[in-house]
Formats: sequence, structure tokens, C-alpha cells
Amino acid sequence: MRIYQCHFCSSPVYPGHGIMFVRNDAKEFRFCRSKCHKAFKQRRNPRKLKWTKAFRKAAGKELAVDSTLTFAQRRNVPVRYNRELVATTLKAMARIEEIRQKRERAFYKNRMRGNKERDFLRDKKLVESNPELLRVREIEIANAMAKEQAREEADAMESMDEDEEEMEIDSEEEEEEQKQKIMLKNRKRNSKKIAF
Amino acid sequence: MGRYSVKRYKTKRRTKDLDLIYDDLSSQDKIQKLLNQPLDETKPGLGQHYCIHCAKYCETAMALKTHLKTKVHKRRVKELKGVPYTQEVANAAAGLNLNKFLNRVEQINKSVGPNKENNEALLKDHLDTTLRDIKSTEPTLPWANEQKEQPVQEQQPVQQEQSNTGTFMG
Repeated sequence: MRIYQCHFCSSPVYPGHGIMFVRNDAKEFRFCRSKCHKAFKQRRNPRKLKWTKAFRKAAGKELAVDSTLTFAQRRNVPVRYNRELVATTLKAMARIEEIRQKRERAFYKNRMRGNKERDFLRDKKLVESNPELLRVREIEIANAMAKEQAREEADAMESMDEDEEEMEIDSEEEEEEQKQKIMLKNRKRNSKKIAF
Repeated sequence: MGRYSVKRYKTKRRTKDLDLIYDDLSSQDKIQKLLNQPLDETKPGLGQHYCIHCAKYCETAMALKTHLKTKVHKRRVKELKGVPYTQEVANAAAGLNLNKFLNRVEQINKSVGPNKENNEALLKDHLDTTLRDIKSTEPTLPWANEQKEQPVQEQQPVQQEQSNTGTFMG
């Protein structure tokens, strides 16, 4: 049984899976799924698509050049069966895999190093340059008040009677300003609905 | 790149791949062959005005000249830089035959790549000089000028072609 690599995304293609395209110079192109086949037909560049192995290796997202990766190779030389050789090979495979995983982890850690500090500094800078972000609620309330007052003034121009009463209430009850605000808002909204 | 259409992407209509064009450009013999193609009535412009980068036949020299200035052509030239994507690259990305791939990359960086760039520069010079005095009103057939200057004094197959040209011109 031979496991091929997808021409596009480099994932393994097991027997009975995927599709093969043979170019008119007899070169074989195997694809793991229709996604890769279609992308190939549309002449997408695998190096520019983030989900392919070629991209990940080229962009330095994964360990690309390493001695542990050079063992998988087609040798084209038949080797006579030897029990000892097989035993040592199996042992070596396990050991190499272990080393590879260790190195990949180290590579990943190295790649992600300093991300926390960088993110923290970026956030800090954002807050420093926009200090109002820390007082969002206060600003919202202030804005709402300003809007309300503007509306009241506009209404005052239209109907003098109602608004005068409201203004009086406002000036009298300074302590319960916010509650009053909400009530006023509601009343305004209702009146608006009726008007429409 | 235009609108998506399934017809364009059928493998039946597949045009030359980039790695093959890269091979063409890296060998002077192949460039020579592609530039001096025999007359072929099945090809556009009888196969006389070929753009190697885009693997495309133009109808006239003027068309070729304008094509060389287009965005499509320039994009293609850019795409043909660096190591071409082949199955070897895909295998190496999956960790198979990595050494073979690395050797290939080194070879391309050291000898094939500079060679190809040199060829491209020569090709550009050649096209610039040959296409400099092209006029838009020029007749489409390459031997039309010769016909005017020298009356027919050639062999049988050529004469046959010329009789064909008569119909084309008429």
C-alpha cells in the first residue's frame, strides 16, 4: 500500500480516496478531495492559500527544515529482509518521532514568545491614547442628557405648555435626575409613536 | 481574472502549466524553437506570434506588441519568478523527500534561476528590436512583404501555401 501526498495541500491520500489528474506529459497529480482538485483547476497558487502545508511552511508557521524531517524518503533500492534491521528501524522511528515532536513544540513556543507582552502593550497604548474608553458609562449618560435637553428645547418651541411643566420638574428634583430622565425618555418615545 | 465559469476550468481546456513554462524559459533551445515555429494553419496567426510567458498565440505582431504591455502579461512574468510549484514541493511540505527538494531549490537559486533571468532579458531585447517598427495597418501574413519584393521562385510545398494565402488575402 502506498500513501501519496495531495498535490495541493500535501495531506496524505490513502487508497480509494481522492482523484488523480494526469497531465498530457504523463505527470500525475493526486488530490485528497474535491476542494483541492477544484482549486487546482482554477489555477490557485497553493503558496498563497493559508490552509495548505506549502503556505504554512513557506510563511514560517511550522518547522520546515530540520534533520528529523529528512528521514522520510523514497530510496528506490530494495533491501533484503532482516529481523534485526526491522527491530532497530522501528525503535529509531519511535525515537525520531519523539524528538520531532519536542522540536516542534519548542518551535511553536518560540514563535508565540512575547505575544502576551505585545498584546498587553497594544491594549495599554490604546487605553492611554483614548482615555474616554475607561469612562464609557459617564459619557453615555452625559450624551443622553445633552440629547434630552436639545429635544426639550425643540419641543418647547412647538408646544409651550407641556414643556414648561417638565422643565419645572427637572429643576426641582435634581437628586432623582436619572430616574426622571428615563421617565421623560419614555414619555417622549410614546408621544413620538403616537405622532407617527 | 474575469468571471468564474466552469467551462474555463475544464481540464479539457487546460493551458500550459507554470512549471513547464519555467522549463521553457530556462533553456535557450526551447525559446529558439518557440520563437521560430513552422507555419501552422490551425494556430492563431499561423503560430508566428507566440508569447512564451503566457503560452499564447497572437494573431498579429501588433497584438503581440500590445499584449507585452498588458497587466495580464506582467502578472504572469511575476508569477514565473522563484521556485515553480510542483509535486516535489508538495511532498517536501509533508516531510517526504525533503533533501531532494532542498537540492532542487539550491540548484534553482544558483544556476537555473539566473540562467532563466538572463534568457528573459535576452528575449525581451529580441522582442523589443523585432517589434519596434510594427504598424497597426500591417498585413497579417508574415510573408506578404516578401511576396511584393520577390515574385514566386520557390519549391512546390511553399507554392501550395502561397496559393492558400491568396484565398486568405482575397
